[in-house]
Amino acid sequence: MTKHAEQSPFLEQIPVSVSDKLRREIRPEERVLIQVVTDMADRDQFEERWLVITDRQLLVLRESGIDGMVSVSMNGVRTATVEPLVGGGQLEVERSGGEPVRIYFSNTLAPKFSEVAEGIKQLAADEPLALATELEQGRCRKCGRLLPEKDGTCPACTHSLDTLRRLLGYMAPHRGRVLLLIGLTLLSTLASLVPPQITKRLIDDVLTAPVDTGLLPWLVLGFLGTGVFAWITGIARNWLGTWIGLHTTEEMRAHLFSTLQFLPLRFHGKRKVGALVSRMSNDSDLVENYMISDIPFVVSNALMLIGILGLLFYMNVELTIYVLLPVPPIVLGGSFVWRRLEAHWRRFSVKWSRLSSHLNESIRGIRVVKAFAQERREGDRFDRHNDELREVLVSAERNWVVFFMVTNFFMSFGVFFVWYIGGRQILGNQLTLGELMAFVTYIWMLYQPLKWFGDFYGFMMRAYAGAERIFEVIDSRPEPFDNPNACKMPALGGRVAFDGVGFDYDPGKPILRDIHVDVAPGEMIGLVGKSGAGKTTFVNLICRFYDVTRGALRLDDVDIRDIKLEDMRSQIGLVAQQSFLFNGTIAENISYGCPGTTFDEILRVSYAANVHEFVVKMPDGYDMVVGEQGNRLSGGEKQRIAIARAILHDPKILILDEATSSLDTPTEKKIQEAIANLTRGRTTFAIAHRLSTLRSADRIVVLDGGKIAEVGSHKELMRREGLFHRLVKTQQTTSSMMAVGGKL
Amino acid sequence: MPETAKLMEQIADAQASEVAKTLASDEEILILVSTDLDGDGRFGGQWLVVTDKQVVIARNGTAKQLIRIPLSDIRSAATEALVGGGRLEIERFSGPTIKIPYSRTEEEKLTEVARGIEQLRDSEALSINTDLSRTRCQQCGRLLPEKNGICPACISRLTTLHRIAKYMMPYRGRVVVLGIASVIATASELLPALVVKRIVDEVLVPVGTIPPMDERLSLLGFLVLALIGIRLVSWGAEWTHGWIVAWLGAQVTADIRSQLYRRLEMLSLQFYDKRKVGALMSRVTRDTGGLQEFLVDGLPYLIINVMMIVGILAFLFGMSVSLSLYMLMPVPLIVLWGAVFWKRMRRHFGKWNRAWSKLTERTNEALSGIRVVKAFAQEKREIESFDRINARARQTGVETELNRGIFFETATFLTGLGVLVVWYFGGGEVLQGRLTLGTLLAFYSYMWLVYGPLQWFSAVNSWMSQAFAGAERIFEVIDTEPEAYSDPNAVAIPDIKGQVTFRNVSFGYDKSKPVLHNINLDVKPGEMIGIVGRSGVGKTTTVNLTCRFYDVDRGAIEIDGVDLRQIRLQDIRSQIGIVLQEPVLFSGTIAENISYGDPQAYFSEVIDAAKSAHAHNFIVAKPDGYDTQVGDQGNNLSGGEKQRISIARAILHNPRVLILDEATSSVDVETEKQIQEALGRLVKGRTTFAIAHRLSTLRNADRLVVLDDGRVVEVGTHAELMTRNGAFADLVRLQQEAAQIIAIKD
Repeated sequence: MTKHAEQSPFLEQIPVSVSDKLRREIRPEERVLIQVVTDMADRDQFEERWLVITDRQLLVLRESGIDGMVSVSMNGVRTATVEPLVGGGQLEVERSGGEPVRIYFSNTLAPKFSEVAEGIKQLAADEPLALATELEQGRCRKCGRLLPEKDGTCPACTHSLDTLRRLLGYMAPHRGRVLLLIGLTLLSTLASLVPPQITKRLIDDVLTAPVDTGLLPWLVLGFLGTGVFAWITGIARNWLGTWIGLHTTEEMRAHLFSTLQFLPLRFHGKRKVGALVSRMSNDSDLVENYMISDIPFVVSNALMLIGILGLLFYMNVELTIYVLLPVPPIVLGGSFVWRRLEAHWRRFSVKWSRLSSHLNESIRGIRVVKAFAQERREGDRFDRHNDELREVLVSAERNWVVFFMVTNFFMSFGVFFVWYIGGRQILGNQLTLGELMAFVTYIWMLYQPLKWFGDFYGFMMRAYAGAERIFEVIDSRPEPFDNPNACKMPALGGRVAFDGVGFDYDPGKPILRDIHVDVAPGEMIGLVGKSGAGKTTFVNLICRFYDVTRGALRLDDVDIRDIKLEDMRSQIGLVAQQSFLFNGTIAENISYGCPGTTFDEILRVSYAANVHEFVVKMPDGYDMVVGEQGNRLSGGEKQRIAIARAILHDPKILILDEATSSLDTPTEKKIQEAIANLTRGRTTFAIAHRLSTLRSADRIVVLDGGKIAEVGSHKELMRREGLFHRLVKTQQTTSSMMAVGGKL
Repeated sequence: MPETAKLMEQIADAQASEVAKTLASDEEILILVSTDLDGDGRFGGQWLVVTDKQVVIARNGTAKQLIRIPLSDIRSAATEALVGGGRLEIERFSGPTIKIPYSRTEEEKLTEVARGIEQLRDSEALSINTDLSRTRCQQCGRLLPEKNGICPACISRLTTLHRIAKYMMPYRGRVVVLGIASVIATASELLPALVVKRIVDEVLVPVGTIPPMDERLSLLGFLVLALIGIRLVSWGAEWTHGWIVAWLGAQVTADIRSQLYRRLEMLSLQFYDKRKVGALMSRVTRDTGGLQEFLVDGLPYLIINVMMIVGILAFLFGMSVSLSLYMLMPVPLIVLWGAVFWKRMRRHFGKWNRAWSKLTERTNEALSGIRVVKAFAQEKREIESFDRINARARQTGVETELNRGIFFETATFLTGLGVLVVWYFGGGEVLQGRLTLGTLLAFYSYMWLVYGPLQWFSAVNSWMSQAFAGAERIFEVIDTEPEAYSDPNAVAIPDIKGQVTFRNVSFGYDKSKPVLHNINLDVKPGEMIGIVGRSGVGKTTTVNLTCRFYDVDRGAIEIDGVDLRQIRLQDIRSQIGIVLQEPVLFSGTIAENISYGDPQAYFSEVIDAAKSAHAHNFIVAKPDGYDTQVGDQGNNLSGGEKQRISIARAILHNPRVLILDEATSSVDVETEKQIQEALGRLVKGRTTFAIAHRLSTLRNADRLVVLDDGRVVEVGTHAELMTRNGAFADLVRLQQEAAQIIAIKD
C-alpha cells in the first residue's frame, strides 16, 4: 500500500470559490498542512468555514464575504485548546500580540478539532506534524450517511467489485475445483436447454405429424436421459460448490480469528465483544450463504441467459425481439424501485437496532426497572419502538410488493406477445407449433431467475457488507509479533525504566504525562491514586498492551518496542481485578500459560495460591469444569486460580491490578497470603484502592492526573504529609470508624 | 402447592404395571426415574423406584431382575462423579453397596434422587428439586436446541396455528379480504392453461373442419386478449394479497412482540435467574422475526397452495382421468422421499447448528478474555483450538449441504419423471385421437402448477417447525405467571411507615437448597440496619425478599404489620428504594436517569436530588450538564459518577424503605467518602438496610445483623457486639488487621 493512497482526513476537499480565495492568500511555495471545514460561524449560527494551516500562517476562510476572515502568522501562535460548549465546542488559538482566534464547531466535529488543536500545538512547538491518520467515524466519509456502528463500513458505499474480487481471492487455492465446477455448471446448463427442444420435436414430428413415426418412445427416453444427467450433475455441482464455499469461508474465519488474536488492545478497547463476535457469526454466515448458494446461482443463471438468448435468436429472430420488449422497462423500473427499497431496508435496520438496544438495556437492568416499578413505562417505550419498526417494515414490504408486481406484469407481456405474434406466424406457416411451445418454455426459464434477481441483489449487498466488515478487521494492523528485528530476550532481569513516558488513548486527552521511574529488579512498587489517575494504563504499558506515545519504556535497558513481543509477554504475569477463566477444568486453567505442565507442578502452585484447600472439596477436584467464564466458582476462588496461574507462569515481572478488591475480608486475607508468596523475587507492580494491599511495597508511586505526584517508601511519604498521607488518612477515618465504634 | 414434590418420569404402561405389582398396596411411589446406562455401564437403562418404604431397582429396564432395599437398610446414598458420568451408590447395612451408573446428562437428576433417598430414610418430608434442567425432549428423546427449551419435533402444529390465528382476530375484516383475494388469484392462475388449450385446438391445429383463416386470426386475438384479461384480474388479486399480507404480518408480529415484552417486564426475578439474557433477547428478536417471516411468506401460501393443488386436480380429472392418474404416479414417491429425507436433514441441521454455536462460544470467550490471552502470550494456542472448531463447522456444513443437494436434486428428478409419463402416455392418446393436442399441452402446464406447491410443501415442513418452535418459546413466556401486580384483593398502603418484620423466614432460590433459615427480625420505622457476613451467607437474598423480588418459602415478612404478599406490589416497589453495587443506568440524559422513578419530576427536584447525592458538581462540569447523554449502560461516566447518579435517583424516588447493597465497594477512597456523605443524607428518616463487605459503610447503623450460613448469629449495636466478642468482633478484627497494616508499617 502506498502512502498516498491513505489520504489524510485533515486535508479535506474545498469548494472552488474558497480555493480561489486561498490561492490569493498564500504563496505558491507554502505547504498546506491542515485544511478542514467547520459547520458553525458563531456559537449559535450554522455556516461553513474553512480553517487552513500552512507552514507559515493560519487562515479562516468563508465561501462569500469577508466577514470573520482571519489570517495570522504561525510564528505568533503559542498554543491551541478545545473547549466544550453546549452542543458543540470552540477551538481557541492563543497567540502573542493579539486576540485569540476562536473557531466554533458542532459536536459531530469535536473529535476532528481536538486533533487539529493537537496539530497546532505541535506546529507551535516546532515539532513535526503528527496527527492521527484516522478519526472515529460516526458517518460515512463518502456519502455522509450515519454508519451502523462507529468506524464501521457504510453499507451503501461498499465497492461491490472490489469486495467480490477479494472474496474470489479466497477461492484461488482451490482453482482446480473452481474450474471443474464451472465446467459442470456449463454442462448442466446445456442439459437444461435440451428438454424444450425435445418437446418441439415431439409436437412437430410426432403429435402433429401425419403418420406415426415411432419416434415417441425415443424422445421420451431422451427426456429420461437429460433428467438423469441433470440429476447427477446437479448433485455433483452442489457438492463441489458447497465444498469450495465452505472451505473459503472457513479460511476467512480462521484468518479473521487469528487477526483478532494478534490485534493490539487499542483495537479491542474500542469495540464491544458482541460486535466482534457478530462478525464471526452473522457476517461470516452471510458470506457463507452467498458463497454456497448465491454465487453458483448467479453464474449458472448467467450462463443460462446467454444460452437461451442464443437459442431464441437462432430459432426465430422476430419473435425474440418481441419477447425482449418488456426487458428494458423491467430493468429501468427495477433499478428505480430498488433504490427506494434500499432506503427502506436501511431505515428498518436502524429501527431494529434501536429496538434491540432498548430491549437489551431493560432486560439487563430488570432489577432496577422492578425496584422503581417502571415496568409499564418500559412497556410503553418498547411499544413506540415496536410501532416505528412495524411502520417501516410495512412500507418496505409494500414497496417490495409493488416492485414484484410491476416486474411480473411486464414479464407476462412477453408471453402474450409470443402467443399472438407466434400464433399468427404459425397460421402463416412461418413457425411450427413445437417451436412456439419451446419458445414459451424458454421464456419462462428466462424470466424465472429475473424474478428472484431482486432477492439476490439484496442478499449480495448484505453479504458484501458482511465481507467488508470482516475485511476491515483483517486489514487492521496486528501487534508486531513477527518483527524480525526484535531483540530476543529469553531471560529478563526485571529492571523497568520509564523515561519521560506519555500516553493517550485518544489524541488530545493525555492519560499519562512525563512519567520517570526506575525500578530495580525484584523491587515491589505500589501504585496509588484516585480512579482515573492512570494506574491501569501505567501497567498496561508495561505489558505493552499499548505502545507509549511519547518517551520510552525500557526493560533491562532495552526499549520495550525492540523486544520480541512473545519473549516479553511470557515473562510478565498479570492478575487483574476481574479474573477471567476459560471454560475448562481447574487444572487446565492453572496451566493456561504453560500447557503440558506436570500435575505435581500444578499441585505445588495450588498450595502456594491457597487454591488446593477448596479444590479438593469439589467433587471432581482439579478436573472440575469451571463453566462459562468460570461462573461455577465464587469470585475469591476464581481470583486464587488466577494467582496460581500467574505463579505457574513464573514471570520476572508481576502485575497485580486490584487483585483483591470486592472480596470479603477473610477471603482477602487468604489471597493476600497467596500474593505474598507470589511476589517474592520478582519485580512487582501492585495497584490497589485499598492501601492495605500495598503493605509489602518497597516504594509507592502516587499518581495524580496522569503525573507522578510522589514517589518514596511508605515512611517517607507519610513524613512528607502530601497526597499519599491524605489518602491514608481518609481511608483510616472511614475504616477505623468501626473500631472506635459509635456514629459520626 | 403440595409440600412433597414427587419426581416421576413417564414409563411405559406395561412396565408400570409390572413395577406396581411388586409393591404393597399401601405403598406410595415418590420417585420413579430411569437411568440411561445398564449395570455394566453400557447404554441400556434401569428403573429406580423409591416408595415410602423401600427402594426398588429394576435392572435392564424390566421388572424381572429386581433389587429391593428397605429404607431402614440404607446406610447412605450418594453420587460419585466419574469421567463422562457417574454412579449412584447406595450403601447398605446388610450386603454390598449397590452401584447404579449414569451418563453426564442424568447427573443432576440422580443427585436429587440420592438426596431424596436420604431424606426418606431419615423419615423427613421429601423435598428435592423436581424442576430439573432438561437437555432432551421428554416425549421423543431428541436433544433439545437449548436447555429446558422446546422440542421443534414435538409441537402440536394445530394448537400453535390456532393460537397464532387468534392474534389475527382483531383484523378479521382484512383476513376475509385476504382470503377472497387468494381465491381469485388461485382461480386465475388456473385459467390461462385452458385458454392455451383453445388456442392450440381451435386456432393453431384445429381438429375436424378447418375454419377460415380470418376467423382463426380474430379468435387468436380474442383468446390472447382473454389471457391478458385473466392476467389483469390475477394481478389485481395478487397485489391486494401482497398489500394486506405485508401489513397483517407486521402488525400481528408487532402485537405479539409487544405482549411478549410487556410480559417479560412483569415476570418475577425468579424467571430471570434461570435464563440467560441473550436467550430472552433472542425470543423477542429472532423468534418473532421468524414468526413474521412465516406469517408473510409461509402461512398464506400454505392456504393458497392447498387450494391450488385441489383446484388443479379437479380440473385435470375433468379433462382426462387416465392421464391424471399417470401424472400422479411420481407423487407418492416424492412425498415418501421428502418424509424420509427430512428426518435425516434435521439431524444434520442439528449438528451444524451445534458446531456453529460452539464456534460462536469459542470466539466470545477468546475475545472476552483477550487480555489474559495476550498476557500469557497464548494467541497461537487459541488460534489452533479455534481452527479445530472451525474445521468441524465446515465439515458438518459440507455434509448438510451435500444432503440438502441430494434431496432437492432427487425431488426435481422425480418430478421430471411425471413429465415423462405424461408425454409418453398422453402422446400415445393424442396419436390415437383420444385426446386433443391442446388438452395435452394444458395438462403439461398444469402439471408444473401442481408439482411446484408439492415441492414447496416438502420444504415448508422444516420451516414451519422452526417458526412454530419460535412461537412456542414466545407463548411459553406469555403463559408464565407474572408478578401479582393486578391482584384485586391486595391491600393498598400508599404511606408505608417503615416497620419491617421478618417472622421465621426461610427461603431458597431452589426450594431444596435453602439460603435463609428461620430469620427473625423486627425493624422499627427509621431504623438503620447493617447486614454483615461473608460472601454467600444470604445478605443480598434478605433484601431481595424485602423488595418482594421473591416470595418467602416459609414464614412471613410484614411491612407495617401487613404480610408483604397482601400489599399492592405497586405500593411496595414505589416506596422502596435500592442502590446496587453495580449501578445500572439507562441510555438517555443524566436528568432522565435521575427522574427514572418519577418521570414527571420538576427539574428543580432533579437538581436537589443531585445536590444531595454529591452529583451536582460533576454534572454541571460536563459540557451538556444535566442533558449529558450517559451512553449505552452509562458508559460515558465513571463508576463513582454512575453510583452517585443512582443515589440521586433513589433520593428523588423518596422511598420509605431504603436498601443499600454494597453501594460503595468498587470505588476509590475519595469517591467513597463523597458517596458515604451522600448516603448519610439519604438514610435520614428512612428505614434502611445496608449491606457491606467493608464494615466502614455501616458506621451509621443503629443495629447490626450478622448472618452466617443463612442464619442470624448476632444482632445488636456495634458496642454490644464488640463486647460480646463473637462473630462480628472476629470480622472487625480481621478487617482492621488488613486495613491498618499500612498505618503501622515500618
